[in-house]
Amino acid sequence: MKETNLTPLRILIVDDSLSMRELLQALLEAMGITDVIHAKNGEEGLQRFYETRPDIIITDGAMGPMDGYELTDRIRTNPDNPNPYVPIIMLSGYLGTKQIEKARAKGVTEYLGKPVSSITLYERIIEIIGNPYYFIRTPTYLGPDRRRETGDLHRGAERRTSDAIAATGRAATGRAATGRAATEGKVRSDLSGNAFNVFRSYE
Amino acid sequence: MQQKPDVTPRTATGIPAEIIHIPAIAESKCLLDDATHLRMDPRIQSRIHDVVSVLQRDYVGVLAHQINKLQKECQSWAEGDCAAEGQTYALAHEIRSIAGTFARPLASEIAARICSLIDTLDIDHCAPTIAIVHEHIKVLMHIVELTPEPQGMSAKVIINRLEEIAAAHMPFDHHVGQRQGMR
Repeated sequence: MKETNLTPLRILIVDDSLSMRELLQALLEAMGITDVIHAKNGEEGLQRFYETRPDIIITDGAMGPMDGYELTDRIRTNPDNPNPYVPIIMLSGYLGTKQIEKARAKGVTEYLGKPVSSITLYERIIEIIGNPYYFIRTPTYLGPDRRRETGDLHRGAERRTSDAIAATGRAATGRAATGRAATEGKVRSDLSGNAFNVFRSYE
Repeated sequence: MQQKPDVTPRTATGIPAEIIHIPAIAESKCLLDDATHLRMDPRIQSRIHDVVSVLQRDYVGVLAHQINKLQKECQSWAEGDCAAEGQTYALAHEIRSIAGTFARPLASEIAARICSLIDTLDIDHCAPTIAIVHEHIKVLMHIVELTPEPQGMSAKVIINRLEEIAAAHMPFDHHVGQRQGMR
């Protein structure tokens, strides 16, 4: 088996703790990722992001003068940003519902609790880079599509039959549906409600 | 029972949504001929394990140093140095973030308790909190010398003991529904 080569990846680490940045860098280097850029707060992180165009951002949640939530928001909402879809992994010691919901609303891709498990981090990186993903843009949100069902596997009654039929003419599920929708261009959808699944780590 | 996720586009409020397909990074960066075959590589996992083991050995010394600094900052805080409160929090926050990664979950939990105590501190009534933080630091100083650190029931006993100490310093105020000295 040929070893997976992750060397071409560039990762931006944004954390106010030097020890945490060094730890993350050591773990990334063990994965073969040597192109690692550091920033010690969101403001510096944003600047580095524009300068270096990383493939993935790993950011802390709470730091100053700009925290990880605002950093995510700026990346997702700046109309001049060449890559608002960059995957953002947030590492945070705060695992309360409020913080997780805030991260989700800002468009964070993955939310991992500190202390970080090295293997979990590796697993998430592989998952992020190995799979195509979908983003949803509404007037109030730009971020990952949280709907994770991938096929027309459900054979039972639709839970929201009236919504489904009105929107697409047939019941549609998951990424199959979003894929179809993407090819059809714009769809009309209320994505502010419980269409989003909560983060994996939150389940 | 697993519920089927709500995956149907909805029209309740008529908000238009655009769904954007982003190709796999592995594909766009040519990491593999076929990105769908990207899986966790056991050789990389083993390398990560080795790196963590090496860092873990060095971390004991770093942790001991941080705990000593924590004690000094807490002492300064007790003597009225306001800036030391922030330093105490920052050090505890750092221990909480990293200790667990290096097989020190109990140190991480105790540091998290210190952060939580400072987060909920009533600044007009901080002496009991400082006393409790001191007790937590004493325990940290003790467990840093133990490798492996106490686990399972022993760890639970230590946390319960810290709970008792907290309760003794800050009895529960039934009128306000929380411990005295907390906001």
